[in-house]
Amino acid sequence: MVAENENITENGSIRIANEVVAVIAGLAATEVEGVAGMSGGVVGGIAEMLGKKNLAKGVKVEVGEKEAAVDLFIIVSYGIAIPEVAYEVQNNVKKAIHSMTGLDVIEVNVHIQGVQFPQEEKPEPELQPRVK
Amino acid sequence: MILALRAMLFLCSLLVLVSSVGIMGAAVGWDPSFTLNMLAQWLVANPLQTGLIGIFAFAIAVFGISLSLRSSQEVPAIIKKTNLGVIQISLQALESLVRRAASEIEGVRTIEPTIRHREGKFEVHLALEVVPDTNIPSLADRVQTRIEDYLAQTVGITDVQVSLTVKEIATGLQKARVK
Repeated sequence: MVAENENITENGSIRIANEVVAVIAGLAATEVEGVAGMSGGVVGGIAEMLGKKNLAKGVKVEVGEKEAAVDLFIIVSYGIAIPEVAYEVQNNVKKAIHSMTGLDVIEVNVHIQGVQFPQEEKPEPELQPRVK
Repeated sequence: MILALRAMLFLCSLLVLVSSVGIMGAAVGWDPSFTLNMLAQWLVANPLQTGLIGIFAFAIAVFGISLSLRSSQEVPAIIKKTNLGVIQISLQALESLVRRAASEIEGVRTIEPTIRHREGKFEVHLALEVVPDTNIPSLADRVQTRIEDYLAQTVGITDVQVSLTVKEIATGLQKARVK
């Protein structure tokens, strides 16, 4: 992603790269309770396996001079009310981007890509003696 | 499309079959050099047919490779529109939720859910394997109610039609030999 939006001030210009907006959105989304992680597809998965931490995984952004639109691809935890969590994600992402970059977020689309189930810990069966 | 796929699969399988028979024959002493030589001579002597076969084989190979690399184009379902945008859920995620919800019901052994989203309405079909000695109508009622309630509560979907088929009675369950 290349820096696209440039804000010219009296002291110079400020550029915010799309990548930065994507990272802000990704972090804001994952801090919402009920979000298990981001779904970044095959390329993101391979990059993570190679040890590269991708904070913009599962985030697509369109950034203009004053506005931004975000698409988030998330995995939610099992047992939560999905619409409520998704709405919270939208609000949190909007707030985070606006407060950190000053951009107006016109759209935050949330795509639920999967559900993470808790791993059931099976207690190891105690070996009972066969004879008393 | 399906016919083309089947034809391609048939041709590829036929080719692999002929090659494998040839390889096995060579392993037990058959000398393929004469046959291969004849084949090569025919190919050289008939450039038009050779060219057509080559183009056909190339097209099949490109078709097969593109098909294997194509990602599944799943249309997600929009579950809510808010003032900030849309909230969509993939049908795969919905299926995993349905599978989990149905598996918690006593009497259900395995579930294969299929979900379709048509004109704002969700159609859930469940193929179930149930444990023996289960009252199937009662189980079906419980499963349908559970799925409807669960989807309304978790995903906010209320317009759901749940149908199910009991495809099998689990026979692999062994009763304990001793009490």
